[in-house]
Amino acid sequence: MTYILEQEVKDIASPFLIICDGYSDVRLIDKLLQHHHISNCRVGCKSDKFAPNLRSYLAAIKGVADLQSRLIKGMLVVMDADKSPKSAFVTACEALEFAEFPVPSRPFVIEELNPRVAVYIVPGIKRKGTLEHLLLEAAYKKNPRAEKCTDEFFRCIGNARSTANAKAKMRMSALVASTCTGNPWASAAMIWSDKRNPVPINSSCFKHLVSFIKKFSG
Amino acid sequence: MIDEIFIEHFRGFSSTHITGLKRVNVIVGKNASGKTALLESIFLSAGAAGPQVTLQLRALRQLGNILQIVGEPSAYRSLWEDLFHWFDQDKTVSIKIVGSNADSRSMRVLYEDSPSQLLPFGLDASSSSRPLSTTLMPQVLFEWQRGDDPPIQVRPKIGPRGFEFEGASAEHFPVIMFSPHATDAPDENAKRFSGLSKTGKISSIVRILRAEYPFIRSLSIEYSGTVPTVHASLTHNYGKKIPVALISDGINRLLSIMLGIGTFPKGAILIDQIEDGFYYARMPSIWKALYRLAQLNEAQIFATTHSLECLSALQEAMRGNENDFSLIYAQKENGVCKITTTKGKFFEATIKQGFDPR
Repeated sequence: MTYILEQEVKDIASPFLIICDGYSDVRLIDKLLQHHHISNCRVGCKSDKFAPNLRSYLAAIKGVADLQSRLIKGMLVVMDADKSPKSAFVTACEALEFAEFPVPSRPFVIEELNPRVAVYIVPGIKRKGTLEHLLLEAAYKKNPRAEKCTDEFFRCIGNARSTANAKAKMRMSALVASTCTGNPWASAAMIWSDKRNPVPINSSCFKHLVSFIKKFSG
Repeated sequence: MIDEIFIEHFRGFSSTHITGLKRVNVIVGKNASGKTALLESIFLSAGAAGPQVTLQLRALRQLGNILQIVGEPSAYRSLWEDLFHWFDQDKTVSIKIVGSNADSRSMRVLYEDSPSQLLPFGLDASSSSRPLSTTLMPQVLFEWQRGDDPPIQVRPKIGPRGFEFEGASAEHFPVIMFSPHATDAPDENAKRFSGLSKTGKISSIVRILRAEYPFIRSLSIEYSGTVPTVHASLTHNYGKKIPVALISDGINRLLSIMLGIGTFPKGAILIDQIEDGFYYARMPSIWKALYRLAQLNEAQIFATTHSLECLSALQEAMRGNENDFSLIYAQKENGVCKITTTKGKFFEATIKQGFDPR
């Protein structure tokens, strides 16, 4: 496990920090860090109990780093684009600014400030959506038939007025429910603990994210 | 207002530089991490009354307030040894405080190269009772300096009448220290109360105290025996005034601190274990009251605490004024005290994460 104690920040154990929008993003990045043997990063996210928003989570990191004299060399914020990648970027920048970290001028750019800082918007450059879009892409690439099946399933019983994000979540849930037999109700965060997980961690769909993290922490 | 503190070879500190100080500075950390020593460093560098302040600190540390003076070098050195990091008196204690207007005060304690005191004293050289031998005594030197002014040097010497402090007393930077082990004498509080009353500055303190403890109707100076003492008229006491110290230790302590803030405007108010004597539920409003009074008097508070309740109360009190607060974390690593600070605005988020700096 490389994420920051799931929810609480009690120590800053690595110089490069990746701060996510939610726990599902944390688990994916945690898996990617392990798979690619990136050991100088820690990943964490806000939580309702300890830090209800990104702002307070980054403030806590800043406070703990100050008090423990920990040097933060890099701060990468990973946000879900949802409907607007632009507003996701603004939210990330406002939180960074509040916690007195430098602010990057645009997303997907690693700025050599003090510390190094970047904002990555999931699912990727010029795309709207959430983590599920990225996970589905990887799952469908491995098993193209699954895409047709989940689409068909959604056409049969889904709500046509659902948003794109809701549709992606529904497709993901349907896929997980039908493959993760040990834990059919697994969320996107929990699929990694099931052997039949439909999302391959070595998928080329994560290539851009992985190379970004490698560059960020290099 | 103090912005920065540099400490070298003092008590548990080998070398430390403290920045980011604010109007209210709350010092946390485990036992023996250097919290009280940090307060003492400010107290000493203020140069309030010359080297005798080090003896006051001994009393505050409960090392006793009576000194037995013996004309031996080791006994003389033992009087000052606790000031030096790891008791190493070959080094120089150095403390420097830098204010927001670039005003600075520094203080050094060191031994002079050649011993200059000769004991025994008071014997006539021509007398037949001339001693068989004399003892060369080491000489400690206290030096205070304001900015680039010439330093003021004071040498504590053992003389026929006990301790004598040779040299001028340094100019007083307003500072007051409250220890949980020593309360101010009643007449001190009365003196401060009277001073503030004469200048029309007591009303805000009385108002705050009454808001906190509504059963207090008014305060006045009365004689308790032969000692002038601050008395309170209580709502349920049939008009009879009683000494504040008799009502409650906590109320008396709060009054002492507030009188200290009022009497030392633009000064440093040093409070060791601020929660001592206060009912926990009162802490948020006590913090608010002290902050308000410190703002009013442009004073700066340095307070230590071990209490999580006290820290939680602080979060409530500083809401909206986070930039006026700083959290100072004292730690001991390999026997050396280390100080880190963070801003008030990060403090709440840090504590909520379960980070326990006590």
